[in-house]
Amino acid sequence: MFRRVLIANRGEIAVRIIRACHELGVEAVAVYSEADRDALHARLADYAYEIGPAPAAQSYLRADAMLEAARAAGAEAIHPGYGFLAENAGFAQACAAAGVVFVGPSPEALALMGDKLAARKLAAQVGVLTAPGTLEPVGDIDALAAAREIGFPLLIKAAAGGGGKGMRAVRSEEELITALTQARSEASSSFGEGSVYLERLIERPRHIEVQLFGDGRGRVVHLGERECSIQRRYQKVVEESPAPGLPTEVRARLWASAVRLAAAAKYGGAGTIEFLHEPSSGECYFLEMNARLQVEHPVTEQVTGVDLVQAQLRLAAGESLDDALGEYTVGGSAHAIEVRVSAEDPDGQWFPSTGTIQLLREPGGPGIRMDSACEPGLEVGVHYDPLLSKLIAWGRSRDEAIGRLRRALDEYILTGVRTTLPFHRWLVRDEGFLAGDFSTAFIAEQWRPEERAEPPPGVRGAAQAALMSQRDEQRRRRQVTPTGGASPTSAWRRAGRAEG
Amino acid sequence: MSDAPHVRPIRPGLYRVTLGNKSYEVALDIEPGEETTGVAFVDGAAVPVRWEDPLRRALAAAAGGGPTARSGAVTIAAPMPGRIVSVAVEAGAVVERGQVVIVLEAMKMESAIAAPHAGTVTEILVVPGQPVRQRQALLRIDSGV
Repeated sequence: MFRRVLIANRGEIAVRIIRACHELGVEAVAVYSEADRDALHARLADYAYEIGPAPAAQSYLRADAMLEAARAAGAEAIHPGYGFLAENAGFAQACAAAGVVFVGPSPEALALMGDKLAARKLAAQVGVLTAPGTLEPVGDIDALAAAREIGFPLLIKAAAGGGGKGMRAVRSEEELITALTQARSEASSSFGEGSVYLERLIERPRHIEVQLFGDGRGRVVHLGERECSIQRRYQKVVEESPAPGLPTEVRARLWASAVRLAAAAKYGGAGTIEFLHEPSSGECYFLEMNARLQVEHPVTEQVTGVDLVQAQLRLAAGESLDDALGEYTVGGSAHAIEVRVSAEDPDGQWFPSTGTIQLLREPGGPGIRMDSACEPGLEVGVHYDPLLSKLIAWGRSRDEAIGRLRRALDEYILTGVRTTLPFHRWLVRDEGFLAGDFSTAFIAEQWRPEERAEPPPGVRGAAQAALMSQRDEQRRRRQVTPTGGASPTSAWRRAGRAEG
Repeated sequence: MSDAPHVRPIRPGLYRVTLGNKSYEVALDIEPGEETTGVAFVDGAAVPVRWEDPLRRALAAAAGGGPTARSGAVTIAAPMPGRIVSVAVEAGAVVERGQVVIVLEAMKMESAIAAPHAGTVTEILVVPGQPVRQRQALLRIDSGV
């Protein structure tokens, strides 16, 4: 095993990887931007290196800064987490050239899967179904002809894309050119590369993905599937494993297709193949491969028993696939669900919210796992992804997992920024969700924050009473210190003063 | 008065409220200021709360309704800090409810900002490429009511 590993990431995933390092007796090296000097990951790590200003392009996206920190720290390997440099083939190559192990697939596999069109071609070669569409990037002129052939509605997708960025749904010819321009502009600002392609839009599909683990020489095993249909603008919001109510035959087909495709790519390490399942036809279309650890990896860990991050590190350190994974269970009745708690306002248009975390109580208890880097006083800014934490609940059945999740969500307190918690609390009480009856259109079709039921009088009374108490307290304080009105001092500091 | 709620402050913003023996935990998440709006989380349930200083309310009423009396005019503010990508309308334009007026980029996502009601664009306060703060005024629309 390695002696020291650098984590080229921040936030909850950096904390997650540091934990795996420490569990394996490996020293963790953190990197952080100027905005993250007080961040949890920089404190939990054994060594920490400042790598630049807050904007990701000047810090977490800088391959040279990562390699320089790895060299200075004497780290033998770099774990990229997800996002940032995780799927950057050039970075993986630079690591190899610098004699540092990149914890992930080979640069060749990364380049292949990072090119969405090349991945589509490979899928077609090994007999894995893909959604009808173009196999080449499209310009404005050929786009119209191609679009007519595919038919509307269709999707514009970024060839270098992922995470819904640079993606647009188009329902008619008139919308096509505007949407192409928007998609290209978003794709170049997100990926530095603006080429896009077209694909038939599968209406109301389920998004199901298969977790894979390969040895890089053609042997690949799967760790079951995840259901990720609860999405908003192609961003996953809730994930679970196994997929509820999926026919056995469909599940077996998904597993086999995913293994076949990843084996053909000689994929090494943890990866995920995403499919769109069309319940009406029973078809499963290959969507893309994510050549990295996924945000939602914990649900697979909770039902299979594998620690995916430890397994990644073991494999990268030279252990065999079987030794790296250890014993695990696939296809059992255990169930896990993850909700992504983000700094976004679900009552508005899910706009990102910024601020400083004031009160924080993360839930615990039976069947609950929190992957988080939140602390009171944490500033949630504009520079990074709005993900705050992941709350994972598991049980012997889906019902048991949901019962625990509902309870944990009600215990969860986070103030200072708007979060997606109110959405999650609604979701775990929605009959459609409870019945496992949903598609990727679920949020757009079902979430109506303005129609939410009025809270009972007792709840409203309690809220009002607490508010009055706070106002009285503030008025009393203002009378004591007449200059203190509208002071920008934080509530925490005010409390310290009142008590001291 | 056995039904009067009893409030026990635990930490700034966190309260235990009892109504008889029924116990609630309340976390307040509010914008500081004279007029208070925000959310109270009561055992997880979000309750919008609003509190106006009675003296200010009385003064506003005496002044004939104050600035909110012009109900037809609305200012569209930036929902988050970011950068203006494009302004889709010109001053004087007539817009429909839900029509996209401004595209804002933040956290690498482009978001379309729509008119909250139909009306005439009276003023445009930003230009494409301009960085904006959260709640910065971007555009004014008058419904003419």
